[in-house]
Order: sequence, then structure tokens, then C-alpha cells
Amino acid sequence: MRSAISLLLLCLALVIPVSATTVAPLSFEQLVNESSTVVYGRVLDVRSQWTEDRRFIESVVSIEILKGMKGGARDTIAFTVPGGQVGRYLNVIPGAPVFEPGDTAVFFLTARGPRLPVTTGFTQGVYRVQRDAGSGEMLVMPPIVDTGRIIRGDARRKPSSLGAFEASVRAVTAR
Amino acid sequence: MTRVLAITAAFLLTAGSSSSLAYLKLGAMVRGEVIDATWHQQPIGYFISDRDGNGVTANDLLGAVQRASATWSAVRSANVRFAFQSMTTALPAGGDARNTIGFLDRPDLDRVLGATSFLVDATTGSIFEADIFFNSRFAFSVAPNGEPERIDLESVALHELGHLLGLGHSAIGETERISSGGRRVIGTGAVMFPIALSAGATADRVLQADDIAGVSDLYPTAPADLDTGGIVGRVTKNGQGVRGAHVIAFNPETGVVIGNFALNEQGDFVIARLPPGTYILRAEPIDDAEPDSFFPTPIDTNFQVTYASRMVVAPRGGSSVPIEIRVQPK
Repeated sequence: MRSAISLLLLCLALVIPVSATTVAPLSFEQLVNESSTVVYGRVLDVRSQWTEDRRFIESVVSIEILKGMKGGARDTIAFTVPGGQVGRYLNVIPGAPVFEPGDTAVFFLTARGPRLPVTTGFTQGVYRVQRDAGSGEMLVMPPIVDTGRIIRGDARRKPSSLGAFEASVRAVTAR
Repeated sequence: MTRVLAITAAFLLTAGSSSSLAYLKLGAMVRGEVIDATWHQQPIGYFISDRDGNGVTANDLLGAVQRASATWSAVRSANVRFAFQSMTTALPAGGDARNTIGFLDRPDLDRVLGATSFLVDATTGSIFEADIFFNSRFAFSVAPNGEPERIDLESVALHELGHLLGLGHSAIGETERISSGGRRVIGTGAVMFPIALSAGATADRVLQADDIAGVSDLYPTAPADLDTGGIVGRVTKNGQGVRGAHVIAFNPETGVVIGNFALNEQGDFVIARLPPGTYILRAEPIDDAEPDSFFPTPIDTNFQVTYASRMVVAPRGGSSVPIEIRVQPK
């Protein structure tokens, strides 16, 4: 059994890399630095609309800011994500982030000129926050900061408190 | 947005209706029922936008898409056919009831090489059209052996055509964090893995077992049921189902690696269209990536990697005895 498992791990390590939708992922430092706003918030409202050129449907996500971590946003902020539903037209982009009222997350947002911000790095700028069933505490997966192979299920990478997550964000902004 | 899904008519990454919980598929929830977002009429026609991209022409794109579509069509256990219609001045955007593939400048999606966009009738679940854009922000290549600093267009086209066929993302792959910043892919076993490779790589023009199983599940040829088998089971933690657990089936004799997710609150999973044989099963959390790439709703990632207590047989023409994989919190 052990040799078979080793073979599995070897196989996973050696298979030839393949294609993708998303370009090279951001490190946590890049994610923080490229974001003009980082907030912990709760989704208040999601409204879909055609873009100005009527080529696409986008959704405007409004959130209540529960904790600011970077940038000067207060109270509420809105951003857009691609896709949504307008009337009978439902536009879906596989792999795009999706929200509904009540969702809680740490949002990393990038402002682009006069338009509403977008999530930094597509799905990379969304860290979902969930309530721990046992303690009731709001927890979030910590950022990956160690160099080297990222191992799924690494016991050192447990969901952590929002306070610890915020400290990680502020540590980057302080550099 | 898509958790409009949960309302009356929705489009989501979900389990298919015909084969229970197999693979991350795109589906439409219409009047409380999930319908696979598959193409019922074939060949699937498409148009190529005549706008050139960054480093490649529209004709280069046509060639890359034709090669990629031929790759999907060559899967013997799946019935998939594409048909090029013509070049068009239209952009790959919604509203013309045509499947259009082309380049777009999308600075708002500056980390996205390409994407597939479905426009669906929310009242019936039928697909109006599906468009694929490649982001002109990136330099692409169609050189047979690839080019340094340029992304292989055919590889990305193969991935996006997988979406167009109705496949979601696969989690067979792993990454490493590099000292210069960012992460990079160090190994995958599926074209449908969502994270990009380094520029210049061309090996990803080849479908892997996981991709073949997925498309075969969506578009089975008649004899496929007899030639493959399935593994069914459940992932639990403290007696409760673990939604979003990723389960990998590995055949140590053949090296085949195929994965799928526990897709409901009970933690049930199905890995369908497996080559018959004996498999090792491993349940793992998707805690190394952005879960939103896979699921539109939060999933459980707080558990340890766990191997099934026994090897499991995927019998020819049938499914395994159900197996439960009990995982522990981290």
C-alpha cells in the first residue's frame, strides 16, 4: 500500500503540466499590493445588468464593510463580477466568482479608473469567511506564504481568525 | 449572480442529472430540476472573429481552435463534433445567437488568459450561445513547439472548449510558491485544471484521463457504458458529509488518475467512466487554491488528507460497492 501511495504522489508530481484559464497566480504579497482596497464584508445586494456596450452581463455586488484592512473605504463598497441574470438571459462564466446576499468574505479589490472595482486576480481576491460550527467564531483560510510545494491538507494551514488574517494583510502593507 | 441558481432558473457548477453526481459539470436548474448544459444538436457550430490577437492572427486562431476541437472529437468514448462556420466581424460577445471565438482586450480581467461565456435561457435551460474570448493582454503563440514568453494558444483553446462542452474545472494538479513571488503549476493531470502553465509550454495540448472521463460522461457513445466502470462513495467528518471534498482515484497498475468532488451536503461522490480496474482512493481538501474556481458556494476545506481503508474495484459496466472515507479535522 505504501509503495502504491508513493507511486501516486510521484505520478502527481511528474505528470506534464497542462492548460488553464487563469494566468500565473498571485502571491499573497502581490495580491495585497495590487489591491487598492481590502475589506472583510458581508454581501448586501447583487444586481445584474448589461454592460454599457450591451455585450455582456455583469453583476454589481454591494457589500457592508465589517472591517477595513487596506484603503479608505467605509461603510459600504460595490464592485463588479462578470456574469449574472437579466430577465430570461443568464450569463455564466465558468470559474468566475459568484455571490449572494449574506455571503461573508475578505475581498481584495482593484480600482480601474472611473469604473467600479473588480476582484483582484479574478477568484484569487476572494477569501470566504465561514462560521465555525463548534466555536461560532468566524474563520478564514490563511494565506499561503511558505515557499515551495503547496501540499493539500497541510495540517499547519488551518482556518484562522479574522484577526490573524488582518495581521497578515497589514504585515504586507507595512513593508 | 449565479446563486440565482438556487432560485428558479439557474446555471451552476453541479452534478448532472443523468448520471447522478459525476464530474463538475455546468448545468441549468429549471423549475427545481438540474439539467446538464450540454449540446443536444451536433456538430456544434462556431464562428471565428476576424480580429487579430497579440502576436497571432485570426487565421492562427482558427487553426488552433480546429486542432483543439479535433482533439476533443478524437475521444473514442465520447460523441463530440464541431463545425467551423465562417470568419465573422462580430466579437465574441453575447446577443447574436452565434458561438463566436475570438480575441478581446479585457484589462478588467488581467489575470485571465481566456474565458467561456454562456448565454442561457433561464426559463428553459437551453443555451442561446457560448462565446470564447482570449485576452489580448497576453502574447500568444501557435508555433509547433511553442515560444518562450508566449502562451500556447491551442492549449488554452483546448481548455476553453472543454468548458464550452459543459465541463467545469478539475482539481488534478498542484502548485508551488516560488521565491520571486506568485505560484506556478508543477504538475497536473487534467487540461481542465484552472491554473496556467508557464509560457512556452505546449505539452498541454493533450487530453488526460480525467478530461476524457469527464467528456465521456457528458457525451457517451453507446458502448461506453460497457467499457468503463464507476466508483461511488461518501466522504464524512464526524459523521457529517463533507461537501467539496476532492476524491482522487489512482490505478497503480496503469497510472490512471481521475478525480471528482463530493458535490452535496451528504458528501456523496461518483467517479464515473473509469477504465475498469482496482483503485486507491484519496480524499483531500481544496485548500491550496481558490475554491471559487470550482464552486460557487463555500465548501469545507478543514480536514486532513485521508486514504480509503481499502482499494476499490471499478467493475466493467457497473459501479463499485459504496465506500465511506472518514476524514479528520486538521
